[in-house]
Amino acid sequence: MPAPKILQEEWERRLHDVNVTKQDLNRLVMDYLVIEGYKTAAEEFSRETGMDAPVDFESIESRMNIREALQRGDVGDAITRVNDLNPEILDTNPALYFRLQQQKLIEHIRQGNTDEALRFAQEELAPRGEESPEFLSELERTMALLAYESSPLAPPAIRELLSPAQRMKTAGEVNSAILESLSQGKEAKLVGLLRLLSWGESMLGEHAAFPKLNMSEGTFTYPSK
Amino acid sequence: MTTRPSRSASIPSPSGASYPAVARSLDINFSIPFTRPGAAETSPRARRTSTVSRSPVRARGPSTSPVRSTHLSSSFPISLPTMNRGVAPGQRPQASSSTFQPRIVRQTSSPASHHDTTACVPGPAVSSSPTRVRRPSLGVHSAPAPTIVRSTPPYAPLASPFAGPTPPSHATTHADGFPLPAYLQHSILSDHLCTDPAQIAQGSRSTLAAPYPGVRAQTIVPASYPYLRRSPTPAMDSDSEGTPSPSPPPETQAIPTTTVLAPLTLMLPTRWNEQDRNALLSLTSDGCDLSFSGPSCTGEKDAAAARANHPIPPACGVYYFEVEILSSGSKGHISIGFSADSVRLSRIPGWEARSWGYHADDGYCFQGAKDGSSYGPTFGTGDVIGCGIDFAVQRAFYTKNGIFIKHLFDNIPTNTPLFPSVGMRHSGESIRVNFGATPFRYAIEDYVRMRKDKVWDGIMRDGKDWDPSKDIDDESGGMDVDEEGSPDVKRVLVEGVGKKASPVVDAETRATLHKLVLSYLEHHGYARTARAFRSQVARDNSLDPLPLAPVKREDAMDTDDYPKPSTSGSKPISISSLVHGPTHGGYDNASSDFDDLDPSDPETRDLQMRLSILNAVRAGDIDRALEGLHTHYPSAAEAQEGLLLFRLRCRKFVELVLAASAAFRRVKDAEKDAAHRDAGAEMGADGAAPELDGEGAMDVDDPSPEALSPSVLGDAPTGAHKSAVVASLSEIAKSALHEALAYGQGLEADYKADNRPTVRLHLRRTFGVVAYDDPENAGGDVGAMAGQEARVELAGEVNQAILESQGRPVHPALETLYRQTGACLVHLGLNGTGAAAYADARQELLES
Repeated sequence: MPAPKILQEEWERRLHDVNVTKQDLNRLVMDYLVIEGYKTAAEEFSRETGMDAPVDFESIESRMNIREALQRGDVGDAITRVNDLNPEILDTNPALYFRLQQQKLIEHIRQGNTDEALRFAQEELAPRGEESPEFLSELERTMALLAYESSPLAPPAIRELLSPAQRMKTAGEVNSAILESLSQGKEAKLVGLLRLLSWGESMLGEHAAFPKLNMSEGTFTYPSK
Repeated sequence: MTTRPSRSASIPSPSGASYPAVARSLDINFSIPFTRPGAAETSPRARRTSTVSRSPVRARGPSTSPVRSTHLSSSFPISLPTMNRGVAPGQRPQASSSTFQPRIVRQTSSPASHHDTTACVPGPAVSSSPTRVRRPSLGVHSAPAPTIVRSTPPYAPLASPFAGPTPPSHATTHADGFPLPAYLQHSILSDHLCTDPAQIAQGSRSTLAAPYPGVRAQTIVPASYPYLRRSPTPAMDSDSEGTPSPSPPPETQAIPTTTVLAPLTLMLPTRWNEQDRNALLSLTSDGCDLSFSGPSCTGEKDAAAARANHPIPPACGVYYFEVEILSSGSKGHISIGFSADSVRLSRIPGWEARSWGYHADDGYCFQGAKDGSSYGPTFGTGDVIGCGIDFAVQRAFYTKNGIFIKHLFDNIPTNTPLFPSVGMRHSGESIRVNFGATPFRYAIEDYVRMRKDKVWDGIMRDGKDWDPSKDIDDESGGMDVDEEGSPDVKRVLVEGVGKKASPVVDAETRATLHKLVLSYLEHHGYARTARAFRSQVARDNSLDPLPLAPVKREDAMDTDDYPKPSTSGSKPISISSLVHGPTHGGYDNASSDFDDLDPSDPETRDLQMRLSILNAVRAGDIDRALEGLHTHYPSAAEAQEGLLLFRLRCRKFVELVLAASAAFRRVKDAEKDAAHRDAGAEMGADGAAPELDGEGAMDVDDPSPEALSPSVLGDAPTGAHKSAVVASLSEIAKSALHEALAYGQGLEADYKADNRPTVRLHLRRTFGVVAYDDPENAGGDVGAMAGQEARVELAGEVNQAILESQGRPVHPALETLYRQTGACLVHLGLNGTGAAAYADARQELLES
């Protein structure tokens, strides 16, 4: 049975019927700005919309500083700042601590400090690799960077460790952990919305053909006639 | 949000693509012993032609015409999605007994089900919709709407002989309507679930009561809900700052027959069906108590069963009801369960195919077979047995006296209407049902909450809801927590051992979010936020690792988070500013000065211009707004076939009237002031303004101590001076009024020839404002017309018009995204995907 097609008019009416207000969306945006650490933007948004911020802006700033340290590649600074904020965050979260140490190793390799990288790996990371197979495999993957150096032949799985995305990923994990320690949502609700949409569209896709959304543009792709 | 367990789940596969066909043949072949004169009509052929003759009017007659043979298209009596418009989420309109007209409602709402797949006409006008005549039958695949049948829920074709009104013969009682049970209130479809026919009536009325946007909608755009095109219904757009949209426009006449949209009110069971019961069972007038009266069934096969008045919509996610055993009689042969309505009423639930039951005498459960299996404890007089169906996993469960027993049954269909049902066999047996009118013994809300958390966590983690085979099949262990009544315990345990890693937000998602947020901010003109956001994103970008080697350079390119600079000027979002942010100023701290927004950036300049126009509208300075529009966005001024300009000019008139009425209030105040001071002497002597109704002068109650204080009196102007002040104020007020009236006359003259109903109505309402002393605070329609909200709404429309004139999306992508999500979930729910009922975006994303 071919999937039934939902007409555009019908779909548009469904869209129309969804109950959402500007305030709702403003709250989602505020949540995003706060969670992701856009302090200035959150302050401005609070001013421009007259909305109260869900948290005080200083707490955003400390997370922002940590994230920026990681994005700069200054892992040591980030770790210090996390510990200043709350030492328990890293104490109680070995996986996160490992991730940060791994990032530090990556930065050493990026800088070309091969000797320092080796020393750091042996002293700091190898013992942790024994704690868990996952740590070990991550450590191995990272060390492989040394083997390839700047060779373009390095497999993508290894090359990606040097990418900005890897820094962002680490920063994101640290951010989540801090938020969790503050009993805040650890992820922006907009991210949840994207997930929910992708689940909803794929589920509905099994039942029917319907206009799919191009998420970032807000435009639709209609099922072929 | 707390950490939640990882789940490697597979999505429950949608079952039964072929179900409708099977079910239909069953439907044809089974003859139902209860009177069913129209049985022959259930053949597919008859269905196509018989709608009119089978109008529910027949059910009104004195005959015992069966309720279930009258309707064609939907399993659920359908009304329209208007009932909760304007009601804040979570609040439901309380049925008021004075408006409670269930019988009438049934009659008016059930005809809607004839064409529920063709008409999306909100409101009570349903029964007069022309589509009903033109499209008499669901079965017809007519050219204009070839997909109609398919796009209905799969059970719809089945339902034709089932759903229908109870005959209007008996006095109505409370059991026909009650507030939606709490456990259903967070279903994403809760707005569509209805346990009270009176709500439908109320909803309809409220639709009628809000004619204004609707009238505009009708005349401006013939298509029904042009969300993606220019929307003439401001209420739906998030540009209006206010509360949820009051109601969809009653576009009755404008609806083309091709609009397929459908059933949006799903009636829940509220009582046993007067007609759909074995005659050996007597039913109390409230529809809740069933007693076996008459000779006991002696044969092995005989029994007496009854079904509820409405089937259970799978869109509930979980449906639950409880049955109290009032008396188990001598043998206690009572079965509690549910069945399709093709099942004979002389059989106890569980014995026949398409019926499921839990039996009191032996504690066995039966799934469409004569042989049952051991399930739970026996039950008897005084016990309360709960029966739930969890459509997300297509299983059922029972509770006894508030204690969860365990899950049972598999593959309960979501595409066959199933009715709560009980069966008895001996005299003296009697039960009382609770469909949610009173609190349940079992804490069903906890169950629902647990389910919902699981689904939500699964979606958030894996993009899947949970895997029923892993999660719930384990009957002994899986749901033990329910017995302890604390589902949270299990969650905590699973979390403790579960894998904790949160899903990583990848670079692409991050870029999408940046873009969504930035375009949202720009759309609504949050200029300073947008600038701050942009510069911070740019600064993040500038922190990217330095490319050291060719490899790494390549890396940087591959994984670039951000869209490449675009040269296309028509792009809605300034991508170039994202990328090149640092070159103009980079990050700095917020400046409170609006003017420091970099005017060299065309995007920013445009945003500023748009914003200043919107601010002018919001401030009531229509002249400035019009000037800006004409100068910078000439085509926007012509938007909506000139109606935008028309509305702006009307607003200008309203502003003039407001200014005049404010001036008159100043006159009154001055007079009052004078009257206070000259108390006894020249009271009202200078009462100038003829337009005044004298109220001001009379309003001398409660003289303020300030006014009587000698020092103030000493400083006050002389009486003559005061009269002069009043007179001059009065002059100002009169001239303001004249200006307003002159403008109004010009307006009327300019649009005299425009006979569009929208224009006429809007003009009339606009002029109506003149009649009020203080229109802004007059409340009601006048207040809405004159107040700040109207300005904000108009500003939203101007915003849309400008954006549209630039070829930009009328709605922010973020809003569309949210709506798309909601629409998907509603559709899934209506299609019987139980899990969708739990994916409560509003609660999880907006209200938590």
